[in-house]
Amino acid sequence: MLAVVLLLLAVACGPEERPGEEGFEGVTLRLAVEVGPALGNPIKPYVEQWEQETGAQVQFVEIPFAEIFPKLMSSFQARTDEYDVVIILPTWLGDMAGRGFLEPLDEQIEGDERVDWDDILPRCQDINVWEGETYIVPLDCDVFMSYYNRQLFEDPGHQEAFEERYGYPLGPPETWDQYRDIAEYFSEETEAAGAMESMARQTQTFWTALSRMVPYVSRGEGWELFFDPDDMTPLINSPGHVRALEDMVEIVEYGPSNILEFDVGDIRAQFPQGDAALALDWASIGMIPPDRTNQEVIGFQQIPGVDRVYDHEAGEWVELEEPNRVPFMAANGWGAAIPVTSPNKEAAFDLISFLTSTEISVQFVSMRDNQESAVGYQPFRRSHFENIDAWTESGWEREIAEEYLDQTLQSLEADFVQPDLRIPGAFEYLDALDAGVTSALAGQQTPQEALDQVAEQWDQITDRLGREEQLRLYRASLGLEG
Amino acid sequence: MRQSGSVTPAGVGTREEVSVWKRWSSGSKVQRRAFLLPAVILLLVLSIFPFLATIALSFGTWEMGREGAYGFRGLENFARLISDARYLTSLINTVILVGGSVALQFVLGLALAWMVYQRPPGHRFYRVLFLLPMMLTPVAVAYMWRLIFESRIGALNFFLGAVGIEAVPWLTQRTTALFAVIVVETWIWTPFVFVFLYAALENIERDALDAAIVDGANSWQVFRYVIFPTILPVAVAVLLLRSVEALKIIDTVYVMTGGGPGNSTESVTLYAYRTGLQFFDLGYAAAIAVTLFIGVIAVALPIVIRMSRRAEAG
Repeated sequence: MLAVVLLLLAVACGPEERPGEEGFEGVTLRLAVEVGPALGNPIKPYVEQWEQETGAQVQFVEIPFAEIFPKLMSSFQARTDEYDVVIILPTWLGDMAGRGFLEPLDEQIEGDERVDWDDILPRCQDINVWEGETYIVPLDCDVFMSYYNRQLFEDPGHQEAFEERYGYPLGPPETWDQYRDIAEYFSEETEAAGAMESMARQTQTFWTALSRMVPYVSRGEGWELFFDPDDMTPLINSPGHVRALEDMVEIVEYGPSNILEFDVGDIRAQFPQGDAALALDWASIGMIPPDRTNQEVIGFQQIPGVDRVYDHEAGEWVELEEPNRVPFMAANGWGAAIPVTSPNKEAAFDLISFLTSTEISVQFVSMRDNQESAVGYQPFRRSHFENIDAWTESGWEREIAEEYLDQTLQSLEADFVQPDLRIPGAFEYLDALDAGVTSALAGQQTPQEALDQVAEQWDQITDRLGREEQLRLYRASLGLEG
Repeated sequence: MRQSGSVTPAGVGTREEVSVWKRWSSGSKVQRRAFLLPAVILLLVLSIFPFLATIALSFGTWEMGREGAYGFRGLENFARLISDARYLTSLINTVILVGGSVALQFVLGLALAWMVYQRPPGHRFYRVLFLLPMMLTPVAVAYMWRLIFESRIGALNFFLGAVGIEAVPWLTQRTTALFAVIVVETWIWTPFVFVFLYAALENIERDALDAAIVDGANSWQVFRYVIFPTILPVAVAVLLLRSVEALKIIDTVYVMTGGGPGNSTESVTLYAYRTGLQFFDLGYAAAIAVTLFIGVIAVALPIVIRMSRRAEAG
């Protein structure tokens, strides 16, 4: 009797059982995620921890980036039960949620303390909602950043020579014109390349191009980058877009000799070594603890802006007093979703809420216990930006962590941030853009010819998928009335 | 169980089994056909049905996973092909890749077969060595060659640089990228041609060669009038097999160039794959596949008919 009483007391005084910790012995979850150091590897230790806590098992299905969307969509369309949790991009929501392949998660989110939805930055929440329902729980929130080589920029000799040549002081570029000048200067005056950007086909080149296009065309409404919200006319070949691609083509001359073969993996490996003066990437280069990278080289800031913007409605260029700097949420950010075919939805959501929880997510976004050279998960919770101690615990110097987090937060909380495309067919629209951009970069077409062709293809895709429906969903994705 | 000493149909060895076989083979036509039925069903399910489904799909659209999602569109998909610049580019690329790689494979395969046929020292070792590339997975080989062709740190440009030749952007310009893919395809598939032609050479009676030499024929005449006619049927079969297989090229292009820059090195199969399984425009992808099938038939049929007639003529 006494033993029973003591046992009951011990249970009553023990730590409060969290939802989902009731155990999932015998359950095996299949988790689809991009293969490699950026996304698959960083979450593995935490998935193991969840396995130990719940008794469930997780099988990783690791897929190369270019194959994730087609592989998942094939499975979803065939209604096969292949995955319980999929780590995907909100860019694909139109195809996946729009066609009923994903489970809406609002109810589960609302009742789960670990998810702590209000702690997630509003912009990182919004991109995961499709037609009023939430389908993805964020593990990441993407924004493109601009990097500069601190060692080269702080060299007095270069500062003097640069100012003499260009008539303004050397500093982190505020405009794409300055970016070009800096790339030209360092490619000619040093062994380092002027700039590194993703330029290979079937990598992240279209996102780099879009990041460059955003400030030339976007003035705070969100629709100017892709389609006219009145009739789905592609805007991708406007003078603003063409000018941005011309800028990008110019950089080929100032980049490494093999820049046309570059993807972000090459940039992440080479820029921290001091091999270039400038680089474009997600926040991934900056968010590597100093013991694993050369933080003395890495300076980072918002992507540059422009002194004049192309106004689509007026059909003319508008001169500005201050540079128009518009951060771009390229790819929008990885998050976890549950296919409707999963027979283990409860366990699947428990794993998702465990991973996205403040306690766990701050560990993988700050690369704690992670010896990889880069990570694909960036901070997405307000607490990630406020809890600097968590970053110092992961090996960061306080000053560097504060600077990195400050720059990233400035981008994510700017007055206007351009979200990525999220309508059905986004993968196909962006593939057409990728082909056009890489064709222009290789000199096979002029930027105007390449983007005219892209616009033509976008029209064909829209017609095939149904212009009326595409228009409705595009407007919905922008938060415009039907 | 005692083994029968007589020659029996394959898999039929004992007296009891022989009597079962006899019962079946002497049975009615219906019985014999019933016996073949499982194999015929398997063939229909695995081969004929997907083929017919592809033909049907090429005349319509289909959204997987939705009931009643097939829509008949007549010749719409084929009409689209005519004005599709990307399709035409992929067609031209495929012709270049097939023509270039199969021709090179044949020339090199024949040269290697001839060399080994001469029985140089170590010819047994060469025979095995020349087969190695064919044993490797094409995707892994393509990755290896992509590194070799890499313009900045690749081995090829390193050696070119050592002899004073400027680095070549092998994989980022259409012409050089197509050339690189042809090189890789040749490297992988020359052993296939080598094996067949070497076997054909080995089948030539040495007496015939000796007789030609005794009659005063020089090396070229021996090759032209004795060897070449003898190996010709095998050579044609090999060329046919390789051409049909090469028309379906996808893995090497996908790994080495991704079809880029732009879509300038995309093959027909890669385009069909993207259209069907990345953009899920299944009807159009089926139409592309059907045109490829027609192309294969157009290449293969005249050759097969001619070879059959030759064989019948003895």
